[in-house]
Amino acid sequence: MIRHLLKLVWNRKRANALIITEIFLSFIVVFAVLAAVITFWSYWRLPLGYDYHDVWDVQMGFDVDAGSADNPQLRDTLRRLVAEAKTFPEVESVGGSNTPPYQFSTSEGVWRIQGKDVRLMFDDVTDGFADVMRIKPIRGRWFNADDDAANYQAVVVDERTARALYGESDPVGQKFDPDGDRPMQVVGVVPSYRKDGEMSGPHNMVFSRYSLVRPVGRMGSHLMIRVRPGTGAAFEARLMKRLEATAPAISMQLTRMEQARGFAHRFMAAPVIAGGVIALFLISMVALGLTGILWQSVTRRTREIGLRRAMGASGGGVHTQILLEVILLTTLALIVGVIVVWQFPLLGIFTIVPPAVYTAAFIASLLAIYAITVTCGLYPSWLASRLTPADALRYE
Amino acid sequence: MINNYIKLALKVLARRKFFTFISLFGISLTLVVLMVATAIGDNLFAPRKPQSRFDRVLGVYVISLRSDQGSHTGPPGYGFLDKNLRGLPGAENMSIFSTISGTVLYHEGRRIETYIKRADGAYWQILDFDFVEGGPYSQADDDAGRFVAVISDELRTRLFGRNAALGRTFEADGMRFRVVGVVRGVPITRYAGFSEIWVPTHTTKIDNFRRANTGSFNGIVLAHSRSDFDGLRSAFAERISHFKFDDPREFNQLVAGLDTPFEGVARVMTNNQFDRKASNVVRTVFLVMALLFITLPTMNLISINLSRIMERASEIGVRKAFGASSRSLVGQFIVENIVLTVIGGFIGFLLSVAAIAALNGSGWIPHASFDINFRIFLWGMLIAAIFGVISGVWPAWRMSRMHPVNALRGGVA
Repeated sequence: MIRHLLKLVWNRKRANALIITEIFLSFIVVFAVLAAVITFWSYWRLPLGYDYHDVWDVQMGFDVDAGSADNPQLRDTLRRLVAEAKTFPEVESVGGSNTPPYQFSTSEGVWRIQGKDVRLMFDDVTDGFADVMRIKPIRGRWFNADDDAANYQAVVVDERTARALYGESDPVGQKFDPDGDRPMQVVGVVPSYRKDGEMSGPHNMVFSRYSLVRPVGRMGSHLMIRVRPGTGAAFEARLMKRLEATAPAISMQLTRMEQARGFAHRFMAAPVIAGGVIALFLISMVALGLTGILWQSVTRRTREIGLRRAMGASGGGVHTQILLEVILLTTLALIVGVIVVWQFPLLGIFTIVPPAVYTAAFIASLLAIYAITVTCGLYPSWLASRLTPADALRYE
Repeated sequence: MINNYIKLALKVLARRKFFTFISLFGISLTLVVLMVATAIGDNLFAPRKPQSRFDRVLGVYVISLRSDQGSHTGPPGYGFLDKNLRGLPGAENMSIFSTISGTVLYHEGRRIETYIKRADGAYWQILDFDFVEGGPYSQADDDAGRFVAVISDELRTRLFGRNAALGRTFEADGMRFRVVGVVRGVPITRYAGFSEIWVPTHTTKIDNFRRANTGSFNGIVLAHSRSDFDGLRSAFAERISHFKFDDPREFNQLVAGLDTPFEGVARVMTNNQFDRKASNVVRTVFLVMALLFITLPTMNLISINLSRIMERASEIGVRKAFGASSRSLVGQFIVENIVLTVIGGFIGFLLSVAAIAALNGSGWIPHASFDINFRIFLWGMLIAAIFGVISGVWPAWRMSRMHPVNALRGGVA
């Protein structure tokens, strides 16, 4: 049966080559979109590592260089800003950060630690940051005022970093950067933390402490404020007035983290949505085209089908034949598709898409293409099966 | 003859409605995507108000400081532009303005999110805003650091309702500004022109920006004509070749250049990796993407056209038997196909207008208002016609080679 069908397909190789190429290209398009969608969906289900609700982020206008350790004037200004914000009953907690969540600013680099090259993301934060973001250490502790007196720079790593650097051994107390100017030491581990939000992939996170009283650590340009739920614009105006009066030389802008989150999501989802819409229309076009071509080929092969019916083939048999032809064409196209997509890991796709997602997208797109082409074949093959031998043979 | 072809084409299209529908569906949706992309490009790069003179403008939008260890890429600082762009020989005018930044106004108990840009006096001469009330502030206002502001008409409504805003004040960034002018709103796609509040550069709280090489400013120069671009570019390149690095141990290479709006965007998109060649790289990438994108619809159209021809084999056979030449058959079929694609193009254009309206209405890109104009319509029709020729040629050629005997019998497989 299959050999016979192959022969039929081969007999119309020109027209079929076009269909096969179309199905192949559709497969690539479906794979690309599904890979993106599944990647985001798998990220979405991972824990975030912090709570963004009711957090206000005041960005201050001083450049990164000004935040370096030896700027006592700025450090004192920051200390007074934090103290002022804390006086309001609407404010639950206040902290400082340099690259807070959802802001698209990052500080990262490849560090050589314990003989391993690791890509790390950094944030410079204060003791209050953990309360604002509701981060609970799972080993060791978060920063506190005692770290001012320590002869090392205290850092807190997230679970993922701890595993990457120290494997199963206890990270607390480990030397972090033995070659640096000032020794760094891990004081605690927090749950995995994803700075850029739900739609971003896991990364290694390291928090480095800066003090508000001693020249310790690089200062961050964001003031993070957790307010009581339901606090509104009237208080926001009052708060900003007080902060501006406290530090008249610094420009400030307040964003609510929920809003920043909405913007970040829109920003990251936009290309996927645009790509998805385009892919959907490409696929629906191919599907319609395929239906038309199959329909046309069925009407043109009326005599062949009539002959089969006259020789005793049942309507169902004809139905199956046409569908099998479609499946055969699809399979031929997908063999090429599988060979091509199989090469993607060599091109480094795993740096963007996790292997599990790659496999899932691969299988899902295979199934989707089969489902689409078989659906396209249903109506034409039903038409073919309804032909009566007498009509079919008479057809000219 | 052509008339006959067109008549015939319309008849044929009406006869096989399903095929016609599939073809039109494919053509029009393909064109929607291409036209929406063209419309976005046109809104970003074409010289339009308030950037009408931007066909004569070159700008410095991003610079890179590099060393073997690392690099910094971002907007230039005021100091860099002041030193290297001001007084460039051959320039008619020049302006330095800040990149856009979001800000929040607290006005009479309300929270108003808006945008602020700091600009000098020349900014108002190079860009041609439509003033609804008052006028721009002057260079003297900027030099004296006067707290005056120009606002957009949308912001005027949000701040003061429907009333005139001239002379009224509002507080931004902890300072109180007096409104001296109101301009018609600018869509966010005009990079240099967009803002809702414009205030003099020298109203910043700290004036250390004056010396900075990197920061958050852009500089533009207005040339007398486009033919002066090369001269301006080499003069700028000559100047920055003498650039003094703050700390040569940190950075020792500088990459910067004078760009048209498109070159500027290309430079930003490629993170300044290709310097002047960035626009070629980006243009190539976009062209390849567009080609890849139209491959599938074109192939679909070709296979549908093939099916359609096979169906008409007996008609073709009759014409051949009565002595029609291959050339006239090919011509007929291509005309048919162009008729089809132009109809598709027209539907596509209508759909694009709807898609653009939906995009504007969705608020997906805040402050964006894209539009479709005659130029974009012509582009769309051109693309449609090319589409029609490409997808018609091969099927027509196959048709013309059909042997009359086979054709009369109903075509070969």
